[in-house]
Amino acid sequence: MRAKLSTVHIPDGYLSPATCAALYGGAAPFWYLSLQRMKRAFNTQMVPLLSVFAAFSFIIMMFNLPLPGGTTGHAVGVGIAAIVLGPWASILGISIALIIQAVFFGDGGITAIGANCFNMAIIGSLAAYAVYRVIAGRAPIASPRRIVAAGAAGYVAINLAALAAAIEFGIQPLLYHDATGAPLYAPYPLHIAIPAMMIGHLTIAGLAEMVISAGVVAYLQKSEPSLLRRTAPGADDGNPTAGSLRRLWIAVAVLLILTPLGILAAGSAWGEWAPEDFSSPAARTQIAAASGSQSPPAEAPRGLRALSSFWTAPMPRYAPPFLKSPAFGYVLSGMAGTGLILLVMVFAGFLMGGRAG
Amino acid sequence: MSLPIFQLRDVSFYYETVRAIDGVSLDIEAGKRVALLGANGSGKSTLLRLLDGLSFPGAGSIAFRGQPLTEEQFAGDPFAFDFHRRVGLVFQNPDVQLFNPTVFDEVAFGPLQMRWSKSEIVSRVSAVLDSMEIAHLKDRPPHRLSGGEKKRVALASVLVLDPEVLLLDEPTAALDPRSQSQIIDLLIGWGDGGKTVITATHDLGLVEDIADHCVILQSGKIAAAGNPAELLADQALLQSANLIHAHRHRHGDEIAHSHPHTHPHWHD
Amino acid sequence: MTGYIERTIASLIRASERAAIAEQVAFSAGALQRVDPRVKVAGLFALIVVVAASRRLRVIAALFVVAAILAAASNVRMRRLAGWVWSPVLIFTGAIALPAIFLTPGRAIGYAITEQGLRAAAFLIGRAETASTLSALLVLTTPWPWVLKALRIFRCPMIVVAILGMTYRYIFVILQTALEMFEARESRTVGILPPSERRRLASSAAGVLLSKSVQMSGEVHLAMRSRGFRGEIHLLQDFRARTADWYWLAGFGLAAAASIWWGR
Repeated sequence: MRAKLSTVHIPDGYLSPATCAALYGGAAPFWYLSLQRMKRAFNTQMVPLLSVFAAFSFIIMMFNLPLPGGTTGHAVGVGIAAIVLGPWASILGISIALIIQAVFFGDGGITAIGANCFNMAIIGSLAAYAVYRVIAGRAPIASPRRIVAAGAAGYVAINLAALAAAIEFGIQPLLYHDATGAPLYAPYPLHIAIPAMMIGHLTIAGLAEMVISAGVVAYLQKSEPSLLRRTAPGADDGNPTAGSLRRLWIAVAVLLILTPLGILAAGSAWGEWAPEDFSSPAARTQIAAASGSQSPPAEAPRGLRALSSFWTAPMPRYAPPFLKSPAFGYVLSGMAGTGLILLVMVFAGFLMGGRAG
Repeated sequence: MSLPIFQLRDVSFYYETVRAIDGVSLDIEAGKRVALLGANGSGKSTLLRLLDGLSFPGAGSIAFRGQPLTEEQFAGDPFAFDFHRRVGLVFQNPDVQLFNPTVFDEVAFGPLQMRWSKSEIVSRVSAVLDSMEIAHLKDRPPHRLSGGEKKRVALASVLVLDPEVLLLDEPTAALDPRSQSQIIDLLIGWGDGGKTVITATHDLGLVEDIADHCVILQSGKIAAAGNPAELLADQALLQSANLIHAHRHRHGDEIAHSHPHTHPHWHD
Repeated sequence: MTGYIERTIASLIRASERAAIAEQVAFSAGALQRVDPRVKVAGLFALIVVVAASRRLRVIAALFVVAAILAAASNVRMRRLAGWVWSPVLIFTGAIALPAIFLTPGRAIGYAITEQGLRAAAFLIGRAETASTLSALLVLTTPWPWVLKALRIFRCPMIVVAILGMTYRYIFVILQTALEMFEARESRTVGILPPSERRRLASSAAGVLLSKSVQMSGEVHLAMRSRGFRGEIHLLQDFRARTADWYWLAGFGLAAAASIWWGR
């Protein structure tokens, strides 16, 4: 049993049986779908390929990886799995490795197998594949862009998996108490569970996944590029261009890392005011300060009043109602927003048929 | 004269752009013991896989008892089951061949795939385990077996199907002397059994004991074929096929010199 | 600095040893070892679910005691359980549960500790310890291939059972390769490497392992086809339930029912 919190394999007792059952139920259709897809794609090769790959994933999870900053961490290998074998095989391969870890090595609970597979194998694989495909585009197999894509894929996948786990933990005390009011399972509400989980993953575990995903793709590009072909349909095989590399790195880094740092911006964003802000003295001071010391009008502009009732955002003030702290609601929204943006990019990419460069 | 059990006509096989097998034509008589000699990379393993219907020639044709071995033929279950029961291949690396969780499961795998009845499987597997003297290992997982034990399990897993043809890829490689001698005893013993045995090896010391006929492969082509004693006496041939080497060494106290030789094992 | 190589080697060796010990105990003489694997899988799983669902601390505690007794009767030494299960769980889950003692709202009982906080921590640790003990019992008293075959009672597809078995088998092959690779690197690495170089070494180790794994899976595929594999998996399962097994099944059922009733 690993004492490090680097990759959370949820043990038994942290999630209620109902939550566990729901997650088993959520995982089952993906498992079924993956089995069907794999049988069609790989045929008789499926059994040996999945088995050996799951064994490989199992061993990778034991690697102690050196990270930027001097720490070490563990990765799950979901980035590698999704990039080399595709999302369906990755879902199954990582699930198999997780099941053996749980049952045989006691790393992760038996009732929590559904949850762990749902978070790491399913959400992880799909996210890793989507991010990789979107960022890599039709770049040549040996292009440095694919290394960046792989790193980002691993990072996002693990963080989304951790976020899912954090939400699963966070809702337990909301729903399950004994007669005295004591939480029966994971005892921390969302506003503690989410930052607690995310801090470790945005830093250590996410970096570990990024390092191994990018590193293995870089290695394969030189020694066995054929292994990268499965998830690179339509890759241009012209000369790799190094130009867009740095810009891409910066864009991805900004998207992912600065989101939670937006909390540092005091007050509300300029222009994002609700009509009530115009009557509140505290808010008026803030608006003035942000507008070059110009006083805001005494009343909210007519247009704003008229339109503001037209659309109520699903998450007003960037925080779901059940979150107590606006700051962490912001983080949650940021991650969810990033995820949504990436999903939109994926669909846009598929619709437009992809463009080179 | 009866039909040769294997007939190869101008067979070529390519890995990407490399020609692993280049225009090989060969007849193998039923019941004969053949040694396929060649250095690493000469194409021995590839040839064995072609004979086992695991790969198909890019050019030329292979026939087993007159029936052509093609991808279309193997598409049908009955032909595939029949062929794989009659022809067995023991891989060089036992870790590749032992993919089941226990020894018993491993030996039972072939019969299970061929849908034998459960009672038949159990009795056959037990019989083979006894004859190979590995019955005490039946519940062991493969990673708890020694090299010699693994080889015996690998052999058992093929012998359980009672094949007519045995293809062996470097059967004595990486084995300790005692295990090697056990394997060799088995190979000699099959000489009277009516089985056709084709052994790929680069161990010249084995050949005379285990083969009536010898084929030397070099760069995917047949360099020579014939009587083992004759071929093994042809030093120039053996050296060009990279089966023996010449480097400087001493005999007793003599000055270092060099002549072609192998590193034999000792007979006391 | 090769700290990460040493730690990786240590993890790999630990896993290998753990498997060896489990096999040894599973084949030794003990109460649970004699029970039909299907009964064990069903019974222990049922108890784990009861532990997960219970709303009473005393039920969880009772099941912990039951698990400990079963272990003692099955040639599983308490020291082994303490090292494998009880300490790691206490350290991990204990660390996670500790803040809850102070943070959970409720009736304060001094030093900012609340009664609800203590109960929450007790539930978390109690459940984790008991469930882990029960699942360790399964693995320590049943050879892994039999655990897998017994999964068929949950309608687990045969192909999944086959894959689980083969994965387990190849974990040891790849583990051995990884160990040799890392031991070789450790002996070759002299002095302190820059961080980027260390990362590159770790990634290339993973890459080499991946290539070898994929190549090996191709060979395994050929070996399977060579013995008649056409895509469908068939398993030989020779479990025969004896009278004693039915008693055990009844025993597990009774324990589960009693726990549910007592915890109402």
